Amino acid sequence: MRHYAGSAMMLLVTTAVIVGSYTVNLKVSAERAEVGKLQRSLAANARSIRDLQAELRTRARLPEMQRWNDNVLLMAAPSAGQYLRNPVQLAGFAVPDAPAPLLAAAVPVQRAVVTAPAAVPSITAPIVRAAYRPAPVPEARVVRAAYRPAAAPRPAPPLVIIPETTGAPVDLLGTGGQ
Amino acid sequence: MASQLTLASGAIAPAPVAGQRQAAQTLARQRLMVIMLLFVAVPAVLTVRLIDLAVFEASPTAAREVASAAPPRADITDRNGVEMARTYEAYAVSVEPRKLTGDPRSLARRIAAILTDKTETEIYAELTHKGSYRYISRRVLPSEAKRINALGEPAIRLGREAERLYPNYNLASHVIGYANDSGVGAVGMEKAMDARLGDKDLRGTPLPLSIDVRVQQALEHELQALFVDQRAKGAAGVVLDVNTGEVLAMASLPDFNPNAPGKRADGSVYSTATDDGSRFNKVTFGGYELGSTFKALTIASALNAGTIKSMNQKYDATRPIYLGGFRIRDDHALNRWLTVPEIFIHSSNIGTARIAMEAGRERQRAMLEQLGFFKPIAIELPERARPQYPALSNWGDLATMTISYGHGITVSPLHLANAYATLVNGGLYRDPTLLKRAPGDVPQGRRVFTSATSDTMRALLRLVVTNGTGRKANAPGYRVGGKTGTAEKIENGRYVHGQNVSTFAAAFPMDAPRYVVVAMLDDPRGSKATFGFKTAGMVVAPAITRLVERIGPILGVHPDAEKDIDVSTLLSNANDAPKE
Repeated sequence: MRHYAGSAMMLLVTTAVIVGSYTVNLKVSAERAEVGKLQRSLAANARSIRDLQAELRTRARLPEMQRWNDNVLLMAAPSAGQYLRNPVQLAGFAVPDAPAPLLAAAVPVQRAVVTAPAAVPSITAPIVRAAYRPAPVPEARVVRAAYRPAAAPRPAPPLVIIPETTGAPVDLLGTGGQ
Repeated sequence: MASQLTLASGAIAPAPVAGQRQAAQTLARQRLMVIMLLFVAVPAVLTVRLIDLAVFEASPTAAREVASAAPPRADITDRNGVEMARTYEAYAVSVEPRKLTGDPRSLARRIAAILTDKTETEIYAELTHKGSYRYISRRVLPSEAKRINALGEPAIRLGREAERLYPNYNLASHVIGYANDSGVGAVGMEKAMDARLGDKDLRGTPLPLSIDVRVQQALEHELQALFVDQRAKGAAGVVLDVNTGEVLAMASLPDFNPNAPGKRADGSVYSTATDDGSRFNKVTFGGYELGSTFKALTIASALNAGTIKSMNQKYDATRPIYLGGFRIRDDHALNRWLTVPEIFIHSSNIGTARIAMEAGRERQRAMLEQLGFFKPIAIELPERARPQYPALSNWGDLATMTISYGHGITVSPLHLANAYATLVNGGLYRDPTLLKRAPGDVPQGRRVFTSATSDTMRALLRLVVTNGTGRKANAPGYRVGGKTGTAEKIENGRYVHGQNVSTFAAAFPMDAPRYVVVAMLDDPRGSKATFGFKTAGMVVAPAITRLVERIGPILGVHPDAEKDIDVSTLLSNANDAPKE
């Protein structure tokens, strides 16, 4: 009897292992099916995204943008005079609009700044307006004359500033000048 | 003791076989052992299989392919990743004519009402075809597909098929080309890179071209304006990076829509009789005598060889040159001795011919060969023209002189653009490419001109734009340099009087050249805007200004009116520029 008990135990264990293994197998299959489904769903979504991108790119194609620009927007590339190298150039443009009392007050400050050969002075807003107003007048005139673009056939876009310095004299710009 | 047992009845019981019991027990044990082994083996097999499933077949190949989002053919993008060609799944409408249940005439009418690009007759022909499977349309909008499905005809099938889409329509059509219905490249880069685009392992990775679509659009737009204004037969243009050899834009007009190759915008199909050359890429496949633009190469060759020792060296342009029954003359004859800068800015044929003769035929041939002018341009496109030039035996003094100013040799506009890139980049020749080059992949280059020659040529080219025939190309602040070239057109081996090929080869900014722009107009007719002139200086140069002003900011070239190349040393004798 003891003899058979061992065998029965073995049979039981084996059966349990088989059943357990099969369960694992089933679970793996189910998980794999889920992963496959997810992957297919991802692929389908990716394809849908590609289709939508294709439509978007086709609608926003460059020749169409060009047609819109030619007929409606009328934008043109900025001309050479619209590129500024530094705030000093920008200040030169703002001079004529400055109020008279402020300009008069600016003269001594300007001398001090001009004699200092620092590359681009770090300046606060009100002083910039004052300090740079009387920047050597002939130079300012020459610069402005050189930069004045020829009669533009299309409306000119706003100024484009090439950022080279940290002192951004935002206050010198007119309304919407940036 | 008796060996036999006597039963109570007196009968004698049979004696057991010796060892029989033991044998039976052994057999039973053996069987049990086999069964036990089987029980052990089955879990072992299961375990092995589980490991196999979990480790080795974790992502089976078949499943991976099903779930892959990679298109069957790789996309093509520009250098900034903007799609120029992509594959997507379009709806295709097909029919099995034998299984048709409804009335074909009525069905054709109803389908034609949905598919506006097909006529009722065409659809009826497909519905009543003898074949077993016919396509009605291979590219249908989802909304149209839904309406066709709603017709309820079982013989009509709606399937999704991979289709090649070119979102920008005609833009860069000659560069991209197109793939046929089977997804095999037929023209352009689609054909040149067919193996790469169809590669199973690489199809998920887009192929980046060197083209910048913004520059391409600007080039095509300006060329188109010129093409229409001048009622020209064709136009071609190219923008090339002089330091890497990358082509940023390449346009040839008229062009075509790669989404419907072989068809015009109105849907009509090309025939041999009505072909307007729109499928012909003039930039690489066209051969033209590019005229005076060659003068820059002649002078550079002489500078390189040392036959021009000083810019003040003078050449006799007092009278035309007569040789072998031919006459070489100047359009704006000054009838005096001219310095090298004068020869260049006045575009003197006589002076250039004398410079070439002084340098000699061998130097001229060697220079042209080094610039790749004797073989098709080395670029990926399959459509490339073989240049035409005289055989060595026929390359005498006359050929040397005419070739010096761009006559008697035909090359493609891309040949010229690459030669100008070599001229201004310090003298290094690199093969042009339509594939994006990473900074580390830019070839070293082969030296053709010395850097001193290159520096001098930059100044001379700038001088042409500030004081010479190319003044209308002087985009403010961009330091443009260049050379005009107006040559009479050749048809059937003869020069056609009154028909020009007007070319402008430019580079900018000349203080540190980055880009070469070549624009060419085939047979401009003159217009009000150009006061009837057909010359390159009047016709093409203004377009160069507009183009440079558009693409300069895009390419990171900022205009600066205060900066320019020093041409003062060349100016001493160059004050009387021609008036066009």
